[in-house]
Amino acid sequence: MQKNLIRIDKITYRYPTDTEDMTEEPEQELPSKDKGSLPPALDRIDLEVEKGQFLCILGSNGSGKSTLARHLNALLVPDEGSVWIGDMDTRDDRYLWEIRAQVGMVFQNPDNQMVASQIEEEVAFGLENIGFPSEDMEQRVKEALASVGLSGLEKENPANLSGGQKQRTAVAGILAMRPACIVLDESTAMLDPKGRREIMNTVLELNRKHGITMICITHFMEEAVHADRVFVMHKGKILLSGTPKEVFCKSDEILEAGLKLPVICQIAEELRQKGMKIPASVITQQQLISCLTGISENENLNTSDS
Amino acid sequence: MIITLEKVNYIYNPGTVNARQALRDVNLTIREGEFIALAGSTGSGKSTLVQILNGLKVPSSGSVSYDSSVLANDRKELQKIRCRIGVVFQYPEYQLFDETVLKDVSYGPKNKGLSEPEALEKAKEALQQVGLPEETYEKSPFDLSGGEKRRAAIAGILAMEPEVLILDEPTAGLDPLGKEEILDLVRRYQENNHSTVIMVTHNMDEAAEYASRIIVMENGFVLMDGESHEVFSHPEKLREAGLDIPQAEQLCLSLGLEGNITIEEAVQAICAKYAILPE
Amino acid sequence: MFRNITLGQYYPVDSVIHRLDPRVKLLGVVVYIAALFIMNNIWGFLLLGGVLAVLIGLSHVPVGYMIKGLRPALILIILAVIFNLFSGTGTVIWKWWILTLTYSSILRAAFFALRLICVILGTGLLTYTTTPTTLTNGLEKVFSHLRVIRFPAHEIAMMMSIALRFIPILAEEVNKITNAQLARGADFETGGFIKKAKGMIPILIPLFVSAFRRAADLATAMEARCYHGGQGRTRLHPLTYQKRDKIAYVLILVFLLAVIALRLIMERCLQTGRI
Repeated sequence: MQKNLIRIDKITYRYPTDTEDMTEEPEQELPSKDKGSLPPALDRIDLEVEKGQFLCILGSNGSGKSTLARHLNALLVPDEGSVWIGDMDTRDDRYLWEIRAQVGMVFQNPDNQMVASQIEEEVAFGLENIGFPSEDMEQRVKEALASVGLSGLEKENPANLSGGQKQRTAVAGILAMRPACIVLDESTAMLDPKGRREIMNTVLELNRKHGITMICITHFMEEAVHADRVFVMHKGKILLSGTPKEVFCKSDEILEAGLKLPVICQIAEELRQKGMKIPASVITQQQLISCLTGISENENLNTSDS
Repeated sequence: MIITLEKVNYIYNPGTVNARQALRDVNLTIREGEFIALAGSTGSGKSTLVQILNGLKVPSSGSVSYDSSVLANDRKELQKIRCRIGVVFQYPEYQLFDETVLKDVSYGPKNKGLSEPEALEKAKEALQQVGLPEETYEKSPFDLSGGEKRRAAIAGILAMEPEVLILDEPTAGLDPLGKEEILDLVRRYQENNHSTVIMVTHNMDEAAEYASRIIVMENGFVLMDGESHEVFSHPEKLREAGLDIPQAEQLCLSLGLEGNITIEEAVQAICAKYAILPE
Repeated sequence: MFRNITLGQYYPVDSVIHRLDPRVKLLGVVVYIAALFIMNNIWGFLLLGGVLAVLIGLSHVPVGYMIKGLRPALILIILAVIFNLFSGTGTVIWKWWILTLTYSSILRAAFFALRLICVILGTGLLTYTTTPTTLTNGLEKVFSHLRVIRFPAHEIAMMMSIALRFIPILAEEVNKITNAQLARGADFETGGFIKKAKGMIPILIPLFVSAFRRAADLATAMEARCYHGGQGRTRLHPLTYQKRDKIAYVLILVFLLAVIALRLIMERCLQTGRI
């Protein structure tokens, strides 16, 4: 019955209030020191992830999306409920390293997640930690760098790389461990548009070609358009879920979650308000164009009738 | 204040093997009350230009003048110019340091030479402008949320009442709502004070929606400079500089509609072409 | 502007010295410095200088580049020479005011200068031909023998390599914060010592906050990538001895014995008065 890669079962999580600010999730707001009044960062979340899916979790800052991400590879464990990776419970210490090798994570700040002063050492870091045999390591590192399009930069210093290249190196570092799933925790937030495109293309390709499950946590709505499923989080709960088409037509809820529709959806929405018949399923530029040109043909037919 | 740059060049590490020319023969005139978007890919020289504009860097050659008085390379003069031209750097919340938000915001005015009560007064005004509620004033800036920190940091510059406000990617890293809040705040500030605003951005949708003039940098040169519709009417040239064109414009161009760059313009143009008008 | 700081000034060419195991090179430097202090006569120094010249030749690092490395220590060398020059005893050959020059002091100053130059060139040869990462690996391996006395070799090596990676980043951060505060009208240059020190607070606090944030981020990222200390860890390029390393060890041993022998012989000669 274990067909799903990740099963999240009614998890609730509260940040401990006595820890230092530094160790907390950066976006987490802790206005009050009184634990009783503090809303949980995650509030009875249920989520299942099938193997090979491309998932997008959207949410504003403080919605709990990064907290959720950290539950996926046992960086955090739930107060209530449970998280299963395959048939491993994240609370079981025996599986800790296995889980972290299965579910890799790319973080937001490219500079703060690199350990080594050389790309190949950086990519090998995870493999070294799990005691992977040295003889085969070089091969793995080469393959991983090739999959993200960075072959030939093995000896380079990360300081000389662009933001997009740094994040791709981070992806390679995870790929080398042959994970089942990669979680990108706002990994595009600090990049310029070019770097953002680089990462999204890499991620899409890895998902399509190699069947790696991708969980993309972001507040760039455009990045969610190509996902198989989209979840919108708000105040520790999942507010919306479904295919991008299903989610992006619920503009009120999206606004409520502190997000904005992608530009194309905004235009479609305004056209609808002006009385044009544009189906709610239109979310990409291409769809809107074919829809509009379709309208104009119908329009011509109508006018010729009258 | 009018800023004029004439044949400005800037070279990093001149005379060494690492020498790199960041600006090449830049000529610009920044007029009063303009809302300018300064665009360009990473490494195009826009950050260097910002630092030249407010006297953090002195050109290797060429001249910068403010209201037709040429800037001298003198420490006191430079400090004065820095107080007249406010720069909000990227991720400005990382410069917050004082015990309370109010004290932190009054740091700039105090450096300008205002007395403590005057500086606090300016700080309060600025905090109101950025819409931070009064109960945050006595909080530690490190206890604010991400968006609030950003606004406090911007207030730190506004409190100095700069004649020109420069913002380097003010929305980077914020969520959509946070972005909109900051951009609306900048727009409101610009409209109310009729002051000059220069916003460095990668996001062409933002540039189209907010700016009236766009300056595009590439490889240290000013590649394009003009009214936003004019600049966006050359999509090939923008792509060459590694930039996009606004999504609304992309859509309109695919539909054969030219010259629409904001969402509003796009909606109107599409309606005009395709809509069934109410009978 | 801080992006291109390289710590240790690795000179990227290929040579037999570059390819040597860092542990061999570390031992070599230690033995060489010891030899410099064992040796006490001009013939010995000629030998040591010759050995160094051969090694530099083998390393393919340009001599000019090596000499440039001496520049920061130049003042130290000159001061040491002057100090030694006028503090000798024995036959006075020149005297002015309180300054006296003797044969023995000239000799001592010369030896001192030579020793200092050779120490700098010798350690320089190590850092020019070994990347910081490899050097750290070597140190980790060498000190891992001290695990019996609970010496945290892996932890220290990890800290060193993280420091190597983050020092340039933090240096750049200082630059950014300074610019941001200058843009807020800060003045870091006028005033007395206390005012200046106080003026640094707006730079230091954001720097510490940032450093802690980076440290927390990095710790999480390392944990997420299964880091759990040195135990059971493998390496991408594990240090293994090649034939050349074994030969180098033998040569170092021979060198050490030769130096000791030379000193003993010279002393014997001096005693019997044949020179």
